[in-house]
Amino acid sequence: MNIINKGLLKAAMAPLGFYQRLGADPAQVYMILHTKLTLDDRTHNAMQQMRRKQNDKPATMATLGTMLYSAVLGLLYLGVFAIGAEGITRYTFYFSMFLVMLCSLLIADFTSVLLDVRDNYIILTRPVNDRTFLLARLLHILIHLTKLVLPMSLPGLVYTGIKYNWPSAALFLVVVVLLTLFSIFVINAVYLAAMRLVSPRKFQAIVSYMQIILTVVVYASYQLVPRMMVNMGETRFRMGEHWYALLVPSFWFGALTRIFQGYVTPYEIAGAIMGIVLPIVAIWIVVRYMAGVFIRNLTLSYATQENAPAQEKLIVQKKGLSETFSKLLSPKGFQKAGFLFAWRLSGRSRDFRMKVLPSIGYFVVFLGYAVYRTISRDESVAYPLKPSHAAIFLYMTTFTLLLAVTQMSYSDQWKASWVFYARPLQKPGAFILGAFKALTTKFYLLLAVPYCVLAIILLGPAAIPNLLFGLFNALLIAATMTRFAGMQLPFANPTKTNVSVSKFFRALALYGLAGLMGGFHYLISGFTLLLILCSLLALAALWLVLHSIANLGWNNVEQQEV
Amino acid sequence: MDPIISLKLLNKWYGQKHVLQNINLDIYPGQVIGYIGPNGAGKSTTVKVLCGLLTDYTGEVQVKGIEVKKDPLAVKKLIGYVPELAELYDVLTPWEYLEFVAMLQGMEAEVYRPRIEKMLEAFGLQGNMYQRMDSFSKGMRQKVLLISGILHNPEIIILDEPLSGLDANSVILVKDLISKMAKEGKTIFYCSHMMDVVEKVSDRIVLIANGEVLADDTFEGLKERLGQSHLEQIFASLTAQGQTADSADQLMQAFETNNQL
Repeated sequence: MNIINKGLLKAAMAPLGFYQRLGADPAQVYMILHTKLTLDDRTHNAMQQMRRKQNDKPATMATLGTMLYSAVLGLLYLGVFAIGAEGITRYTFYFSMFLVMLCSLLIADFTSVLLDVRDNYIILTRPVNDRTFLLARLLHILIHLTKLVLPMSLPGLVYTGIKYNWPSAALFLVVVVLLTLFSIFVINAVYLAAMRLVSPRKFQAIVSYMQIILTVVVYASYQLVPRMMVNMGETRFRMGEHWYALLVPSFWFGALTRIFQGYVTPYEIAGAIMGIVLPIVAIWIVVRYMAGVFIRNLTLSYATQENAPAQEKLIVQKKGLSETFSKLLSPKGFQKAGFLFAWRLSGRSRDFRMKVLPSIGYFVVFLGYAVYRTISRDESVAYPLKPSHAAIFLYMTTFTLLLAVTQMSYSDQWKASWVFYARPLQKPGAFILGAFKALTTKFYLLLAVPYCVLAIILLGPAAIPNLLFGLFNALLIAATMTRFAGMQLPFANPTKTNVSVSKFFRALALYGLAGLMGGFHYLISGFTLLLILCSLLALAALWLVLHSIANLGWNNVEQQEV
Repeated sequence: MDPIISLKLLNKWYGQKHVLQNINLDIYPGQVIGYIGPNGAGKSTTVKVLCGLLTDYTGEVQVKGIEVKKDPLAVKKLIGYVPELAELYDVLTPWEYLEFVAMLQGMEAEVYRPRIEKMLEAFGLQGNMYQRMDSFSKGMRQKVLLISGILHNPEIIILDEPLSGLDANSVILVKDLISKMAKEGKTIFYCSHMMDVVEKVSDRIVLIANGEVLADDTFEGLKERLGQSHLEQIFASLTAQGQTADSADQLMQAFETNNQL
């Protein structure tokens, strides 16, 4: 166990006598906490898991990683102080980021770290009483919170001390405590609502979607917040002068921090009071109304957590989009099998979702920004839509497709791919082609086609030749990448951290080629006839590449020993 | 002699589903009970009730005269439980994990330290004592799990599919261990689907289906009563009622509709 965990454990175990009076067994509390902190040290947290590769070395000091990550986040939030707007607006943005990030990290960790279902078999079968177990879990949550909140708030604390004054910095610490209490309320509410509505397994899936949304929100805020703040600076917008700021929780915390920083508006005073009162009321609600249910979940609620026997209700198979599209694009044989397999697994594999879905969010944010600018006819900003540049977003969507196609090869459960090797599959290429078509439909066409329609509505028929060439060219790039970057069966390979030199250069060359193809489009974007001709050529080339994928035999496909 | 485990009119519901129906059982010290039944029969639920994990049942459940609902901690001290699912904190080493378990059981260091070493050695894991278990095979994890169940020398040992994933030598070792522990007066509650093992190690067989006890006798008694020579056949005759033969026929008929690939 590292020095930080040791210190926190020692601090947590200081009121030994008090624990005894509570009816807990201090020796068991110590042992459970010690083990839990060791586990924390050796397990990647939710955020680290998103970026983790399967072959990564086992974690040894994940706690330090979590704290460092938290501190870096705290440092990033300081970015809002560099942009032109006055104090209260900056602090409001700062605490918004703090609150959102803290809540999402905690929600994710609650299911994976803090409410470990294995405890049911390992700890609850031993002579450990309810109070001991509950106390150990609560202390674990408290230590976990400290490890997140302390480093995250440190940069803001130092900045407040240096920039303003040290009483403000001291108040900042109090604000962070109040904000943490408020986030506990939010998490309790989310957790309880989720527990009533969905099963724990489904809740974990919801959490993963929430993480994806969060990633996109963070990206969108990086795109939009600086501009918004510049605009606010220019228009002398002051949050403290508007009543509706009181509806924003982070405004209360910002207002409270600002109390010792000179002139404050009446709304800021009201906000500061709300910043003290509402978290306390919130935590009172938690203790009075929510804690009972939550604690039952935390303690010996084996019976409530225990899954009832499997339902005997007959579940009828529904025909979904996958069936419809496979009929159109891969109607039979191994190709159809590959299509349905990749479509279903790409929707159900958590790892795949976490890696690919955020890129769709980036595209939507970017597109929303451009459409807004085009409609508002604000020429001062980058990326308004123009007929000659309409295809640029199609190439951006290709990023999602390329990510999906690359990610398609990998899976945590790659050993299940024995099924491919045990079947009389003569040409695995057909299977791979089916999978490619599924991902192209799901992660490209379903984005690109509505985009093309939107672009034609906004820009008129003049955009059609560019869109057409962009569409085929992007598909050609993705197909070429699939064909030549090293053919692999879908979801059948472990994630590799070391890529061979030849593979690396081949991938580099392919990306270069993709760049050239995009660049070529840019050069001819003003010549309609040439665009139509090139569209036809790209379509023909696409057909050839797809045909070549379909005919690949086992000797062209990378195989794993399963 | 007083029974060490006594179940009287035990009932348990999961929502609307009645999973245990009026179970009555008296188990005596030193007995090896083979607790068998088809999937979803209520075996694991019975075990969880006995271990004090489920307390929302009706009826009377006593372990060594202690009502489980009233004092689950005292019962947990008497019982060693090896669950079916190999739930372990697998980023710990066997040594760390077993030390954790020993301390939760309230054992002293001078007792558990040599015992862990000896037990790991007996299972051939002395070389893996300080290795994280996330790289272990299913069989190696099962061995650690088995040790964690018997480490505190409990009077009652509940084993839920304990041989799953073990190699042939370890199976022999566990079977041998069961009979030696029974000779020392320990009570073994053995849940399994492996009929040949149950047949050999148990001196009393309890068959449960749909939450009800269908048979409770020695293997010899069951053989005589039902006129079958193997436990597998006895099991099928009591639980499947000809269903297995029907299902096999149904499977074969599936080919007849279209004999092509």
